Amino acid sequence: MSKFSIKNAVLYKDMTLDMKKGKIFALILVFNLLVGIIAFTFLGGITLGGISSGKVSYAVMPFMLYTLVFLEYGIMIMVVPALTAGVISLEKERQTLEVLLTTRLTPWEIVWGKFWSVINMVGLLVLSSVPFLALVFMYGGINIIHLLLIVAVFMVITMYTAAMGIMWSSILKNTMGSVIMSYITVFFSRTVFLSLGIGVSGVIAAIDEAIYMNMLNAAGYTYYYSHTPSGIPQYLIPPEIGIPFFLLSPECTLWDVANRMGFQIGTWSTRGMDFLGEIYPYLSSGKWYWYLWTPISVGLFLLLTWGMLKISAFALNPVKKKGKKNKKSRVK
Amino acid sequence: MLEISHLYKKFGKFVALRDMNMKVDEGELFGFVGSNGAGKTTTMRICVGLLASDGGKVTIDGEEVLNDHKKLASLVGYVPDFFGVYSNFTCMEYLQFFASTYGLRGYDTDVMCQDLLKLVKLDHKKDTNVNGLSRGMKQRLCLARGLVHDPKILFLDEPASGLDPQSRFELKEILKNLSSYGKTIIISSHILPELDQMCSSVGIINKGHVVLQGTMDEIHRAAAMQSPILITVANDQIDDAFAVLKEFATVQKVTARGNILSVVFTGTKEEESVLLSSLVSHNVAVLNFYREDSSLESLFMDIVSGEMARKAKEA
Ligand SMILES: Nc1ncnc2c1ncn2[C@@H]1O[C@H](COP(=O)(O)OP(=O)(O)OP(=O)(O)O)[C@@H](O)[C@H]1O
Ligand SMILES: [Mg+2]
Repeated sequence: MSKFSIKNAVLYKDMTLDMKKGKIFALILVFNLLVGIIAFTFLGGITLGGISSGKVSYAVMPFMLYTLVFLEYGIMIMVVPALTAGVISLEKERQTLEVLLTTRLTPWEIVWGKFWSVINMVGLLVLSSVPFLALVFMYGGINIIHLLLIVAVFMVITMYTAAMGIMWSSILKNTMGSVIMSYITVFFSRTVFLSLGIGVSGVIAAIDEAIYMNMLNAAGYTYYYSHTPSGIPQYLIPPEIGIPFFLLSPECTLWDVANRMGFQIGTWSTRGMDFLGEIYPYLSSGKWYWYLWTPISVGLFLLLTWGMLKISAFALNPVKKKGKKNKKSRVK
Repeated sequence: MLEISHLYKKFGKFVALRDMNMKVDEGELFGFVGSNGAGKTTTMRICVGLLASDGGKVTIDGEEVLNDHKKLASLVGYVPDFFGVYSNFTCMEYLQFFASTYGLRGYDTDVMCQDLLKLVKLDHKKDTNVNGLSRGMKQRLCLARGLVHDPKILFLDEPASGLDPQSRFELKEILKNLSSYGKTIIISSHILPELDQMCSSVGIINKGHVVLQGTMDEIHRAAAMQSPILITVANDQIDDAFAVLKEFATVQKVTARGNILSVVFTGTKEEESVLLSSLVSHNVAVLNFYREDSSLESLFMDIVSGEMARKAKEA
């Protein structure tokens, strides 16, 4: 068999080139160094605490997991734009893209290959750090299925992030612009949605509260009722309007999947995004959508990823079909 | 084999190709000549699917191919006027990679890649990084890349530009060799004479329109016609000579300067000798009978400038 045995030629090429450069091994080393330091700091703390008090504080274990997951997430959003922003624009600059486009590869296959070469690389990073995540098992409180679920969701978010870089890399001509736009888009897609979620939910709660109080007053109630008097709606603007913004924030998804373990830490139960129901008035815990948080947002991210990759393939297509027909008749 | 008909291409308001028509037969080594900006690269890019046309048809073996990417890709090979190489690859890996983009992998493919390297005389550089190749070598490697999928038609965009005479010669030999295997090759250039020893046919493009197409022989004939026959006769026989020349349909125009007649003649070499013997048999003392070997370059220049003049008149 030839060395070129992975089906997508672009995917194979990129992976071998990265191997050759040793880039991936350097990344794995640095990445695990960071993750390892944090993991062992936690373990050291727990062990020392255990020695001095004679009790192991298992309650800290989930926090170790969250910390590691969000640390990896932080590294991921720093690294993925850098890994993706150049994948296609560099081929443009090297003028190899044109040559690739004359081969049997379709623009979609080129984009797809590029996409998976980055995903494989990040996947390798994450897998290499799984032993550290698994340290959490040492003291129990989390099972392997749950850990795999977290890794899977993490990879979906990685795809969503990678698609942004690939999209800019396909649309823009130079790598510099693509790098800048990728980082901007990645950061905005996190902070903007999260801020909108918090902001919109807060404002809606405030308005609803004001209206409610007014109605109570108008109806002659002089003090706050814990039960809504009949004839007065509890809220006018649905409080759920802010939820989609949270759904589009990868941090929330990651939190939901990491935290949804169903046990108490101190006074706090671990129920994923359900806690929003406790934070905002009129949103209530235990609703069906809290339980579907991870599946719904993962679905959204996959959809957006697919859309951005489609846009990338469209941008690369030198002979776009759309609007071609009427142009044909116009000339002459 | 390849037929381009009524091809149009506009870049904004600028019309780069205007009713382009060209036909290339199977197995031909076809020269595609035009000055800078004539539309050679544009035509080629449309033919290999890198550019959308604004009307017209391109057929290969009677089949319209521009709308079928996979089919087109397997039929044509393209060596652009730039390299497009991955610096981290060795020559062999480079070819293997491009073979894999056509779904070609495995032992047979490796053997094929080695054969290609041999064909372009790079077998000794098999494991050299592409970065470490000279310009001429890179050009030949790109030629090999254009051949990995054994395309029916190979498009080469100014492959000789930037090469020294030795490399040009080697490239020509390789192309002739390829052509002898029956591959259809279309090679663009802005120098007509350069293609003389190599091509079987040429098409001359000017301002996005093919103005002359034919076999190399026909082109040579056309070139010959460009230069007049110069006949020197005895001073008192100019009128006699005029009378004789007038009888020939192939004589377009005769002008006299002193006792030298300049004859614009469209006949063949054989008819040329008939003309001479006719003069002699009419007792015209021919002191000198001479036709300058018109160069292809001047033909090319005449066509291009003639077109310009015609366009100017039309405007
Ligand atoms: N992408 C483009 N945008 C605008 N104009 C273009 C583009 N590509 C080509 N042109 C124009 O079309 C015309 C034909 O260009 P083309 O590159 O086909 O010429 P050429 O015959 O290959 O010339 P050369 O010998 O210089 O390579 C030129 O006037 C050029 O300016
Ligand atoms: Mg050109």
